[in-house]
Amino acid sequence: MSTLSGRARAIGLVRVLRLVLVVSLALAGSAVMAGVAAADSAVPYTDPNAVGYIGLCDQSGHQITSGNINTTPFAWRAISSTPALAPYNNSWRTAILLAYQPQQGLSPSEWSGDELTASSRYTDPADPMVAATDGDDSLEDFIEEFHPKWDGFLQLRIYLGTEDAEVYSVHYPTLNIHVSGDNWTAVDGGSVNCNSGTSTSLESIVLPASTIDGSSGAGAAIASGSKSHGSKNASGAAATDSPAASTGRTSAAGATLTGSRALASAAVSDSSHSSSATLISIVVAALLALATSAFFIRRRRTASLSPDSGPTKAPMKGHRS
Amino acid sequence: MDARRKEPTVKRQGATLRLGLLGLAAAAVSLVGAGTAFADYAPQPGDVVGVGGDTPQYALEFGADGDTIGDAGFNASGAYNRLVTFNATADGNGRSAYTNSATTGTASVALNPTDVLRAGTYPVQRVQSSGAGITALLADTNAQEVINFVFSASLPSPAQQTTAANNGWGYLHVVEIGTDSVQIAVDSTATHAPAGLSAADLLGIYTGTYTTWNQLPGNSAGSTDTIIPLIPPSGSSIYKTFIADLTTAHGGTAPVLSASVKTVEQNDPTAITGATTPADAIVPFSAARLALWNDGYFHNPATVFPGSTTALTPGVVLLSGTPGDGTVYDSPITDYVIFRQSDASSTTPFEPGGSRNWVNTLFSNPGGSTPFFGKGAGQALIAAAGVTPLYSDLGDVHS
Repeated sequence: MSTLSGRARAIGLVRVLRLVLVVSLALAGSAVMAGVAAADSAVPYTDPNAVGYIGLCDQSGHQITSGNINTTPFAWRAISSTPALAPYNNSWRTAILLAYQPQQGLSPSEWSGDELTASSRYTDPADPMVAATDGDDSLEDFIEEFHPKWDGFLQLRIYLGTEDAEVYSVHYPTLNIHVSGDNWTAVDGGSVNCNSGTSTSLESIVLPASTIDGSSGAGAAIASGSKSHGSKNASGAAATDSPAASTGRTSAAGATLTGSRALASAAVSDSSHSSSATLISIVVAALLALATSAFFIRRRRTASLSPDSGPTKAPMKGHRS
Repeated sequence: MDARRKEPTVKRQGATLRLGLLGLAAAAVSLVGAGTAFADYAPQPGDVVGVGGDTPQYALEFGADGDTIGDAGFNASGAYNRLVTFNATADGNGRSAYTNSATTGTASVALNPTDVLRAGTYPVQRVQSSGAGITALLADTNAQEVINFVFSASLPSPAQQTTAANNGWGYLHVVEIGTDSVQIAVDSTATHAPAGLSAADLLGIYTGTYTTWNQLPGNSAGSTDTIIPLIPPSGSSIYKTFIADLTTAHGGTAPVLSASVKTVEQNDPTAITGATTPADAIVPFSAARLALWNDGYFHNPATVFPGSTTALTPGVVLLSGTPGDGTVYDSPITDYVIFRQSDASSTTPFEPGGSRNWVNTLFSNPGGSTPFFGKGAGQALIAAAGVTPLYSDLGDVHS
């Protein structure tokens, strides 16, 4: 009996480990794919749709984690830590920055929100990136409409877009910020490289530079690493290549829109397949988990078969035979 | 013994498999998008509904829902209450609807298409022009509004402003959102038209003074073909603008159109390309609409879902050269949004948790932050629709 009991314990242990492994992998996969954000003690809520974080940059290409709510635009660039997945990583990829008003008793999908920018084309699908312009909102503009209702917190999100597809908002990167007086402070998030690519707002493509003064210039300054206003002006001039408003004529307007498509395509011309990095990471993580579990199972099994393991040895062999 | 032990083992394996499948199913479900398909959307209370004319319809549509190359519109935030616009044309490609001649054996006539403006209401005749939009708004006098605003290429008349005042609304508040222009479209492959046509040329053509190309001033070497003058329906903003310009060219007297003038769909390139002799056909056309055509927005409607990947090409161009007797015809047209002034002072927030009403949020917010259609993001979407964005809060104005 004692032999059978030891054998049963060994088999049971293996099965339990298998069960734990299967469930863990399923949960891990679900968590990764569903993007369950780790509960952050900095905010009193959890957003199950959040995947990754957002980093904000100033006009000089430096990451910022705090600022004044009256600054326009709120931030010159917002970068996602989460790569864009197909089809939102194709050559028509866009990204847009929005703000939301967390409300107790409502799920994050029910929170009210508004856009802080227009959609932007960006160069690297591994780093979805939103460019702002002077034509975009300050945080105060948003707060005027949606006052913080939950301990002063607001949530920023980046949604993705592409040609012939609805905006992707099932999962999104977030940055939670706290507003106090005229100041905001990021309470989570992480490091981003503000110079990891370039991004161009639709406003810079189709509106006259005078409408969005300094907008695309900021993008150029960040993209090139330059902090000079010379770069701003150069880019601003480039933005005037396609001002529909400057002509209002079919040929010009047509050229503008055709131009916007061309620019959109050019803006993402260095498209890479780095968005597959996430998938590869998941697969590698799963394989590592499997290997680790197999190692421990085999070690325990080996231990149970060793001469020192006593009563479990013979039954196991007998069972095999 | 082994047999007895196998049963729970199988059960456990089954349980393990079920758990694994459950986990995988949960993971798979997490990948399913939130964009569940549904039937034509019928606006709910709290949604803001706009109707109006063909000319500005895509500017409002793009503003609400974004364009087709990844640029998000107002509704992309997933707002609880949404901005809903009903196009003047029942067809997404901007075409008018006609009765069925194939089964009735009688010639097709224009159909009165309908739409459901609010959930729970009967289908009603679709508003198909700017003028009809303002008329419909003025007739919507119930406390719970069906139509909240109108997108229009024309201003309200003094009489309509009086009606608005009598309705207790104060006045019809007008906001300019952009400009367009009416020009003359011809076949892009081959045309007998000269490089440009003036208003005087067009007056002569549409009243029958000039019937062949070589009769035009400064074009004696032109084709002897008969000109095919086309014009959109009389209720359209393009027609009204064009006739107003011919009236001006006629010294203020409305012209009597020649019997050779044929009525065609507004802003439809096939009116030219489908003419008996495309090279001889001309029609006044919206520059913004042609820009949208050139941008690849329209695709072959004969292709079933998921649709053609190849955009239609318009096959027409606008005349821009200098005519022999003056300035090329190019008439500006303005796109407006019109709403009840009483809504501008409403204390009901547009969105849950918000503090601004829908007028302040979308169109007019004097003294406050810029409304959506006035700020860069909204203006850019108007431009994406081919319209030249130009925001101006005009308030109480009329034609």
